[in-house]
Amino acid sequence: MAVLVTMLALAVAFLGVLVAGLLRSHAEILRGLHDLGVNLDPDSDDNDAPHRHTPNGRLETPPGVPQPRSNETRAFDVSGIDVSGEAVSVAIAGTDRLTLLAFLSSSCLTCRDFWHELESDRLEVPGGARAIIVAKGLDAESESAIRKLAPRRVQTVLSSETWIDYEVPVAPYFILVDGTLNRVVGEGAATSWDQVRNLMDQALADAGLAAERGRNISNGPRAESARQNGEARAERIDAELRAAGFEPGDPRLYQQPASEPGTSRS
Amino acid sequence: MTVIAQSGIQVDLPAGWEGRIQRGPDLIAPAGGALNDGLLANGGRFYTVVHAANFALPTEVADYGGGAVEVMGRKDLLVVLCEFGPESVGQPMFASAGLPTVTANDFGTQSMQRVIEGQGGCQKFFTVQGRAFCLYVVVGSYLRRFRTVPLINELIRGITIT
Repeated sequence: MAVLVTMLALAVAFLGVLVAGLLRSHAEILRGLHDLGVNLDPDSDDNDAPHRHTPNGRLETPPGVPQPRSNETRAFDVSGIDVSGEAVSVAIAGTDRLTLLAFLSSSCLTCRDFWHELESDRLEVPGGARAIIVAKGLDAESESAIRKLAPRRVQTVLSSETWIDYEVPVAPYFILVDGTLNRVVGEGAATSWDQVRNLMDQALADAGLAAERGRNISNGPRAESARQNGEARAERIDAELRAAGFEPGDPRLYQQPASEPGTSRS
Repeated sequence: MTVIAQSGIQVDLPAGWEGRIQRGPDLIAPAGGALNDGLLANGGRFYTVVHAANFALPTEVADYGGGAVEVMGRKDLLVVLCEFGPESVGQPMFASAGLPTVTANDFGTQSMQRVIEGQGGCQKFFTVQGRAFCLYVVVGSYLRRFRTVPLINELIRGITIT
């Protein structure tokens, strides 16, 4: 009898240890998912979730979502080497044109489509911008692969410094720079050229530049008017958001809705 | 200010200017010829071409601006620096020493590799550091050259040849 009780106690103890281990493993998985921005708690309210910030005070966004820029990024010229190893510098700042910088890599599969798209004669670049491909330098890229991929009609520059200057988070990534305003006016990651067009058209519309570029006006009163309309619109939106209690960079502006409108949570 | 440098030539590009430094067709080394800072293993030299412009340079530009001059607008400027071979050093045409600047009177409407209505061009030959060069400049508007020559000279003063 005593032996039986002892064996039973040992079995219970063993099962207890096993369950404790499983619970600990489960907790670690949940913690890991939470760190990645996934909350599986059905009772939690995402709107009340604490917002995480990086040590430098910037908002930490979910994976795949670039952080909002802490301030406006000015335009930087693109300097490096071309696919033949020749020194090259492309003027961005101080020009009177839009430039679409396509940050691509020879190794990422999504980038492959963009390398081919940019080869096309019929390519429509948003806002009539000049497209420039920027790959990382030879310390991070395959020279032979880049040579095979680089289109003839679009300048390709290998420049790791430009990736740092513009704080590029991923590849492929696209940044629209206005040389007249000397700053970035649109940016984002995309998986297709249509997405790039939509993204940049929206950015141009927000900046009040679409009408200006569409009419090929680079200066003069109508261009100034278009630009001021864009700035006035931005100021009006900022004022309306402030009135509602939202300051620029407010973390709540970057949250995804917890549920679709009209649906109720269980 | 952006700086590009290659083959012993450095160009400080003013704001709004872009440029390229290319090694010319003679770059192709003979079998076994190694390239080392402009020198071939057989003692020959490959020759450098610099293009600088205050407009968007097309991806392919010929040594003397072919492919670029055709798209130039009235305010556009193109500066080309073409290096010649060592056999040119000491020749009367390259007797001028030092990088020259340009004046409005240097330009002519017929002084271009390819005459394009409204444009003006000028060429100057010189030697620097034992290297023979041709400076070739195209202005998008011959009539505006009095206003654009200072911009061209600002760029030229930013060129260093060693």
